[in-house]
Amino acid sequence: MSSNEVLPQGSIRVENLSKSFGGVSAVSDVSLSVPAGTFYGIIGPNGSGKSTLLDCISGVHTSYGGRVHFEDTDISGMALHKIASLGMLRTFQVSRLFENMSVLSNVMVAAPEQEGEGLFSAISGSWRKSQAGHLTRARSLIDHYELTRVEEAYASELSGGQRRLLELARLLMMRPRAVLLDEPFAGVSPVNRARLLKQLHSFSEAGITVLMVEHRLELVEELCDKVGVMAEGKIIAEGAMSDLRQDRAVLSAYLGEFHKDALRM
Amino acid sequence: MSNVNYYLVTLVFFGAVNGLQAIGLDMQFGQAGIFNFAYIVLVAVGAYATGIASIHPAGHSGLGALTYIGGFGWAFPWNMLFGVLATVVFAFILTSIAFRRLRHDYLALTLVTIGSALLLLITNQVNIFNGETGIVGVPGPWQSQLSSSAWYITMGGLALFILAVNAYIFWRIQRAPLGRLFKALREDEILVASLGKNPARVKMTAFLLGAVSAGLAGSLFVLFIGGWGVGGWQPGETFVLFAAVLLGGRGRLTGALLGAFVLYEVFLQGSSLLNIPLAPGILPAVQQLFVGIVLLVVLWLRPAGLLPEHKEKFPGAAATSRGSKRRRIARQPRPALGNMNSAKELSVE
Repeated sequence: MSSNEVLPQGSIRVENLSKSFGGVSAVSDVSLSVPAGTFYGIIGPNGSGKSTLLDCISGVHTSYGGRVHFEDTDISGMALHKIASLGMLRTFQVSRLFENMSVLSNVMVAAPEQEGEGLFSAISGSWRKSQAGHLTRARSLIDHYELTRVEEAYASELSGGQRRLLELARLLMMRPRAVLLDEPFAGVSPVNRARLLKQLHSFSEAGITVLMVEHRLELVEELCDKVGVMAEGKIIAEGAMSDLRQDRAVLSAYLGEFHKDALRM
Repeated sequence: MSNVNYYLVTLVFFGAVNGLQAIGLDMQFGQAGIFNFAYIVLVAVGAYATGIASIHPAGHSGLGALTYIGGFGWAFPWNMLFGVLATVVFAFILTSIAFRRLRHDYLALTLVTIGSALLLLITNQVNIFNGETGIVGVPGPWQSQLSSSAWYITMGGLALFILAVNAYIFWRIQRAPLGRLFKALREDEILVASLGKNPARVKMTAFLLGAVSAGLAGSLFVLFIGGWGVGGWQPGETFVLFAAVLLGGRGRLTGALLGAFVLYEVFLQGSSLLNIPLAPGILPAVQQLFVGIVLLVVLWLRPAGLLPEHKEKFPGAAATSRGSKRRRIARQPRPALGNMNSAKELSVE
């Protein structure tokens, strides 16, 4: 895929976002800004509210306090499908695929503004003309992610790493300007990790804005321009990963007082 | 026309109407994964609406003390159109109540409940559709102009024609990107939304399409039988339809048609032709039992049905693909109730 297809836009701005579940606060007063085309990482211990934050920004949760902007649009409280159709997409912590559909069908579903998704164009068959273009693009993405060999396999037959690659192929099929990745390396073998890393680098090169939640600090350090550390629903520190390694508050929140050496892998 | 021929034409008629119901339920449940346990209610709406559109107002019908709403005295095809339209409007109202934030299992329970409540209402509130007895004296299309045998053949042909047109349109939809979206919705609603497609719109489209078939089936029923009462839409009817779709192969048009044919024509009709030494009242119960056993055997041995769902075909498939025939058979799609594991999809609002 050529990088000039995606325009360098897609900034994300979160202002004072708070979300609680039945009185239990999951995210409290989080503000962050991801300039267009940059790679922002969120780290933090389990239960610190990282995934909830992503769910609010992406529209899985629609009732929360605070505001979220995507580019110039206020997307606060907007539903998942609306935000996605604006050009900000997400992946899930546990990889989600249409298990009983082929790899190619999984990518084809994602073709944006596809003719033949409406009732009348489906019946009239007018969608067939535009199908070839989508198919070519889907196959080139599948090829780019080295999935051509399994193009006709059911998604449920893929390995953990292939599942993640298919998720990214599907994501790119929709020409996103910003993506939210929830632990993209979960369930990926060390061999595939390098492939995935390379692909995520290409996101930045294509000018796509990325907000990523990830546990593995060496991956965060390699990919992210800026990192926010979450603990107990708040962002307690923000900066380059190399600086955060020295931050005492970060060390104690993330690993407890006695394990600070672990951050210097 | 001999009695046997009457019987055969009647079989064709009911075969076509059952086929209509099966492809309609398959559109909702097989394709889009909506557990509509109230499908037969949609059929009933089509039948009642066509009925009251056809007969004359209560008191002027020459039918004695029937009480019902409407009574427009419209001829075919306007009565049928009214019936289908009423079904679609009813289905639309149902979706706007029941689809709000409800996922598979809750939606199924809600629809069962709505179906039972409506059955009780219609049974007991006699001035809507004449209560338990129901509507009678509905004239069939051209019934007064044709001889008895010609009319039977006409109705059989009409039912087959409507089934063919409906099936063709559904077939086109299911091969289009909309059909792909239905199956995606069946697999994972949140994922569909995360791809920028509105799952509510997709779900409603599938539901209303299924309702059109239900309305047509109900309309044909009432025009052929000449009446419609609560006996025709007991909750059990929906489960036989589910059995037919699962037996034939959910998610595949020809599967639903085959399932309806095998279950209704071969098993249910065939068994009534056998000279079974049982008290006549027991046969229906034995048949129901038989339907249950057939369904269990199918789910056990061929969970994807007699004609399993196709994997979507695209032009110019990669030559090196691993999706060999052997693998495809080895791995049939997930069995019937696979969508019930929706706990992982519950979101907290």
